Amino acid sequence: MIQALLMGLLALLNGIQGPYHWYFFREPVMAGFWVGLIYGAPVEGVIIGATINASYLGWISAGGANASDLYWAGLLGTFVAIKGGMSIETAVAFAVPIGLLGNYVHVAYMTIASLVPVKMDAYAERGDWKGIRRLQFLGGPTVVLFLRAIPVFLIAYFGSEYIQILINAIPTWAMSGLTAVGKMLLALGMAMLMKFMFKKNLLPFFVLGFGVAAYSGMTDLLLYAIIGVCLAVILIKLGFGKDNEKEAL
Amino acid sequence: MSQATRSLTKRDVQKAAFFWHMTSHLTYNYQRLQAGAMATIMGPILEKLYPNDKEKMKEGLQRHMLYFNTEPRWGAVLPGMAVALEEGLAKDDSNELDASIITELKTALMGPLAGIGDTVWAGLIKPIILSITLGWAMEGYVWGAWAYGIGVTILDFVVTYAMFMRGYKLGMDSVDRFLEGGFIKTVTTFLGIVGLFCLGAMIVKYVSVGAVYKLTLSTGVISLGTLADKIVPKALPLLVTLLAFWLLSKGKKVTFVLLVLFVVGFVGGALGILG
Repeated sequence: MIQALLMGLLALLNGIQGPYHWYFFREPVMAGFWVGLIYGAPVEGVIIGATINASYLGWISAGGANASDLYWAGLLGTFVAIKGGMSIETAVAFAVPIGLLGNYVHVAYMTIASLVPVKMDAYAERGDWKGIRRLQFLGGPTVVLFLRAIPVFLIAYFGSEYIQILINAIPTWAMSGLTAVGKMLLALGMAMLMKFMFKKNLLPFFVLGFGVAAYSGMTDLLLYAIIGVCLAVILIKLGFGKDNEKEAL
Repeated sequence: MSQATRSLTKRDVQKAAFFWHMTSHLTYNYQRLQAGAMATIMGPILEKLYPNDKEKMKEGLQRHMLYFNTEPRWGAVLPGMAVALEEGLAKDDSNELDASIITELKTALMGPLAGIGDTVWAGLIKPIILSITLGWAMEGYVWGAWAYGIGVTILDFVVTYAMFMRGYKLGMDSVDRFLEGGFIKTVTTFLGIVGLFCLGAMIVKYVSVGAVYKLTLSTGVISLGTLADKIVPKALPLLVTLLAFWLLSKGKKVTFVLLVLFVVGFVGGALGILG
């Protein structure tokens, strides 16, 4: 009961839209940590959350349109994984349908919250700026309470015993299929990111990074960040960005 | 009323910047997106500029309840500018300034700034930090998760605050000068180099799918995965990533690509080819 209540509270913090909520509760790696903490396995939670997170590396919400729901993929993905005792790859595959489901919740949130500006207009008409501010602070979080916190509480309260039964019912071939999916999906995160960053003239840097890592086996990313920063500083000093402009013209 | 009482102090602007940082998305919605946040930060500003003037307050709030949406961090330059313009409008006793210029400027610039901001923040800065800290977190270090949370929060605040204050200073100068300085372009090139270099290595680190199919011949067992790795190590992760990238740049939706990968992975895994 207490764990389910904490899950509900976590879902509220996870769903509210603000920088502190985004970075400390929504990001799957942090959501995984909190879920793990609630169920006494914070390290496991962080590992699962981080792996789910990597599939969403290039995740972006432009104008409120989501690709898949980052909020629940991390939160409920980790929950299902810990309660079902599944492997990390399988957990990542499970996070996909949860994320797609959560996406409908997000659409519902954005739609219901669209009623708030109607009331705000009425306050504006009266010049009541404090009323607008109060609504801005309370409107969205109230919708989150009903759409995200209460459902997650119910899932955590009633659902957790069924998860284990459900997982056990899955045949071996389907499990190995899900495991392969879990390993494949990380490529989506990379691809989304690549779509953002890719420019033809920057291709050599991508090949260089891949080549060095693939052949040397060194995959500590801090190393690549340091080398990358040095490369960028040197090349921009040499006028790398300016040459691009001429080419573009 | 004398002009002095219609001036904003630095503290007023700082307070507005902080409110923007806190509330920009709190009641985000399809109908007006960030308009509620804009009106929220403008309340105290208008109160200061037009004390006890209900009519001006009403006009101002209605002006800022209009549809508004930009990237909240780099785009904070816009609410900053809007605050400066409101101050200019209040001080303009000759009535040469038209209030509609504020709305026009916001509407003209929110789109381009959202594009730049999303690319730089969601496409470059956040993923680079995330990819480094996720590496730690995946190895089971809890502080890796916290390093991400704390690091990005500080960065978010610093960028938002700096951009808001810069926007206020730019005021009537218009945002062109800010963009023409080449600052954003240099930032984008810089992060593009670092990002793509790291991305290449990230594929090797994170995408672990491989071929597990084994051919049994009279001379022995050949593992396809080992064979492929001899030619180009980690070729399969690269191919899968490039496939997804190709589909995305063809304009396919992320959900579609997700389902393609799901089906290919599931079938491949169930048949014992991928793993």
